[in-house]
Amino acid sequence: MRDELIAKYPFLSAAKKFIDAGESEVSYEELETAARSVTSLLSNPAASLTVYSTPAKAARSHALARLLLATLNNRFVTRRYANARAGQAVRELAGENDDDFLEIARDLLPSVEARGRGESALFVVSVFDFLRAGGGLLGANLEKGVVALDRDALSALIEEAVSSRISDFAEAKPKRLPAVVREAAEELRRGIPANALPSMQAAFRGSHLSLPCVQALLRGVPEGKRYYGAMTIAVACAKDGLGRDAAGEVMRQYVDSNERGSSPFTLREGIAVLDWVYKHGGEINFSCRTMREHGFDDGGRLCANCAKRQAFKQQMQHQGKQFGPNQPQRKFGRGFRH
Amino acid sequence: MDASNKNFEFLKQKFHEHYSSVSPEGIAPSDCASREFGAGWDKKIDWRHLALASAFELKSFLVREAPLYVSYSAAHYEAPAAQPMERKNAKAWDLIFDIDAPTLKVEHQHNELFCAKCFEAVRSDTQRLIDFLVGDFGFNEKEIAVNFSGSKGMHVHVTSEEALRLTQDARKQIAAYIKGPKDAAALLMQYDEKAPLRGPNATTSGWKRRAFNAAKEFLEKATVEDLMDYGLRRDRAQRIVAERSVALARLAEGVWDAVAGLEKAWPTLVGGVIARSRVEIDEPVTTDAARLIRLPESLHGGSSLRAARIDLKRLGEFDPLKQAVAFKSGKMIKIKTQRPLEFDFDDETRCVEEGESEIHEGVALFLLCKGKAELA
Repeated sequence: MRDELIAKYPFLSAAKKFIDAGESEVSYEELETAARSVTSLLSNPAASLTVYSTPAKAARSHALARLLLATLNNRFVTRRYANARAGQAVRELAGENDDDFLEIARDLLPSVEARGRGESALFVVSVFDFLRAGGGLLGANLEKGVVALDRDALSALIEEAVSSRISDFAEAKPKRLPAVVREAAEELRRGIPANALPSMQAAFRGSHLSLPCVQALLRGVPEGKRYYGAMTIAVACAKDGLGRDAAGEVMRQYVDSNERGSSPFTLREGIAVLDWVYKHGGEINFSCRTMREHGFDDGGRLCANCAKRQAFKQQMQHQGKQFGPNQPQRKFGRGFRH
Repeated sequence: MDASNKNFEFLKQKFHEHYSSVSPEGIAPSDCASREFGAGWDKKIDWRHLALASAFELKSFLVREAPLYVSYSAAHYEAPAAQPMERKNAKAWDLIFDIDAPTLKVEHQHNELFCAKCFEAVRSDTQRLIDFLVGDFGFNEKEIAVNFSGSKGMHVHVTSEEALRLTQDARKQIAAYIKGPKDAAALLMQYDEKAPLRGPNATTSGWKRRAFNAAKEFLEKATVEDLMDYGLRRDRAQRIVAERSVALARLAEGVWDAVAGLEKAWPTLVGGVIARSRVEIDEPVTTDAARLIRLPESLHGGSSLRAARIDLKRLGEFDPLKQAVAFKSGKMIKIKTQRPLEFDFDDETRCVEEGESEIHEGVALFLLCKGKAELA
């Protein structure tokens, strides 16, 4: 694998040789730098990838960041970091040529093969690699042990696989780490701003995303409703004019907020819903009635305090029309109803 | 010695005789030394955390203890006898499925001893499960083993190297896939009834393919009346039939509402395909890493039948009341019953009178294990 790729994607297996060949001693300053890169990414997950001048520097920085996170032992922070890092990588991957894209894909999904090239290329991966990477089976194009994916779907799977690889600390034994690492991890813990995670929510406040019902969805929904929740969030993002990448961050937050349970709602499923909505964005409007039908209004409590509903009610009253659940519905554009 | 104790000792003696005659290799699971075993006399598992280092040791245990129920772990452990469970340190897990009742409702035969109709449905479900494992998951038939549960169900074991390494999350996904999507909405994408309806296209596979094939077949053949059966008005149905080729062409592209009105038919149609294709497996058996499952070829204390292994090519013909009967010595045993019984067993229809009678050993053991008879 080319060194330039490792410098960009230090989570690749080939980066290990640079770690093994490097200094075994680690200084507090190095750990501080790694900690700053973690907090920086947590504060701005949509940031562009940092490309190091050499693969050795990239590999070492990546390894130290993971070491600190393993020592920190905070699953939520680790997942946020891993998801953000994976998102960066996949955005960068979009610009790679077919050969490099496939080589990187194979590092995470050894069985992947390409059928065709360019935008219309299809890829196939073994169902076992697909499952290991966190792919969702029910909607997958599965036949004879192989899942077929287009480039976007494979990128989503790669994103899951990268996130899992970064956040898997099965080999780590934090209690045996040197004191300097434990101290640096403690500094990292103190350094994660109290509003670092909520600030990601603040970045995504559009008129639809800030609705009380949508904010409630972002905090998680019971199993059986997660698909509809994802659909609503995707529509809200599209209607608020969020770019696809920023919408992806919102969807990640939604996926993370849902406890895994017996039928986990994966990032891949969320991204698939998002991509579908963004493809048909102009045709779909946000529907308060749909929210109520799915029970996302908390028995009407969230609608009672909703500014959007209050504004609509005032408008109806101003126009001399009655407002209430049994009144004739007036349509404002396709699908927009109270 | 009271009657229940006498019956119990008799059963234990017969089970002891049976296990004395089996070959160790014929009954031992693969990787025997890594398995945890469980055994039961009053219930299915009275004892677990047993480690038996070889096929020979397993047979010795069965002959000595004559358990009425024997089970073993799906997991392969480094220390199968260790407790608690975490200390056993699992290295791998067999992928196992249990079908203990029909997926779709069946009209019972009302035979309290064994419902042949229900078993026929379970056998058909098992074949569909194997079709999933081969056609969707790509397992080789040689990696799939099926056995009768000993009671009224079927067990399917997948023994490929890849299957052994599946994580618990992966097993949950596989189990959920086989049980099928909850409804058509999982395969068709629509935000609300005014939004476009998009779904599988001609290039999809898996569950999407099943939905697509059903929709295509329906559209190709549907009459106006067929469409009206789905709640469409006559004029809408006529239009769909007239524009059938357009609808089919757009369906192949994933557009499921190219002709207005079609969207009414799809949820019911796709829901029907899901209901007919899915298999109701006992999900914890597949996903629970600590689960013990009946040892193939062991005897079931609730029926006296063997948990017989079944050749996949002969699955459709398997009749447990013929091919899983373990006791065929021809000896006659005196029993007594509370009421008359009539049932098929070992290729004959058996009629047992109320009160005392003398019947073949296999039939006697079957009735004793079912709790329908006592030793006279």
